[in-house]
Amino acid sequence: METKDMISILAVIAVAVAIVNLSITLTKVSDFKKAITGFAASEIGYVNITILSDVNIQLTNSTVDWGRGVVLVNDSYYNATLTTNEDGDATVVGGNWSITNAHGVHIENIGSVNVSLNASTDKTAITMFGSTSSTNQSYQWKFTNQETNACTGSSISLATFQNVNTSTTLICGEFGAGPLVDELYLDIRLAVPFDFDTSKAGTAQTAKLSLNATAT
Amino acid sequence: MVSEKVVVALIIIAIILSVVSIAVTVSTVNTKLIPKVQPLQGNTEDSDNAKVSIIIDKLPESG
Repeated sequence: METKDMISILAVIAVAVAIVNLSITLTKVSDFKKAITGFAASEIGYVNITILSDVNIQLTNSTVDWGRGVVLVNDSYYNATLTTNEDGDATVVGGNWSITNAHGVHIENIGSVNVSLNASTDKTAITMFGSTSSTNQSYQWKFTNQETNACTGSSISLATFQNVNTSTTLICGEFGAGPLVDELYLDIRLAVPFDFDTSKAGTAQTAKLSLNATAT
Repeated sequence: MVSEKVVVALIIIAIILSVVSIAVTVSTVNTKLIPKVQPLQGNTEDSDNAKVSIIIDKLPESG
C-alpha cells in the first residue's frame, strides 16, 4: 500500500470520527438544554420566583393541666372556678387545684399568609363534669389579641369568656401573619360544680380543643 | 487511486468538523447556566390541638 493510500484511509476515518463526534455533541447539548431554564447573556442574571403561601399555626403552653383537687363548698361557692390568665398566674377560687401548669395557650401564625382561624372542642361542661343539678358548671374559652389587631372578623367577642362550642366556631376571619399582628392568647375557665358526677371522681377529665387555620 | 487534492480536502473537512464540535461544546458549557428551580408546594391548611385536663377528687368523708 502506498503512503498516499494510507493517508487517504486515515483521512476518511478522521472525517467519520469527526462526524460521529459532532453528532454526539449536538445530541448531548440538546439533552443538557432541557435541564436548564436559560442562561444569562451578561454578568447579571435575573430569576423570577413565586413565593407560595404556607399556612402554619403554632401553639405553645398547649396543655392546661390543673392536676388534682377538690371543690371547697361553702355559703359563697357552689363550685370551684379555675381561670388561666394569659402568661400570668392562673387563679383558683373555691378549690385547691394547682396553678403550676395552668397558663394561657399561646397561638401564633408562623406561616406566610393571613389565615382564618376556627376552633372547636370535643367536650362541654356537661360532659366534663355532669353536674347532677345541671347548674354551677361551665367550661369556657377566651381568645384575646396578644398583639393589637392580630385577629379580626371574629364571630365571637374577643377578650370575653364564653362557653366553648363543639361545633366549629370562627375565631378570626383574618389572623395576621406579619410581625406584631400574629399572636393570640387562649384562656380557659372551668367552673367545677360541687355536685359533679362522682363516677368521674379521681380520673383525669381531658378535653381536646382543636384549632384549624385556612389561608384567606 | 485518490488524488492528493481529495486527501487534503478530507483532512480539512475533518479538522473543520472537529473545530465546530469543540466550539459548540465549549460555548454551551461555559455559558452562565441557571439551574431549574423546583417550586415547593406550601400548605393551605393547618391544625393544632390544645388540651385541658383536670382531676376532681371527692372531699374526704367527715368522721
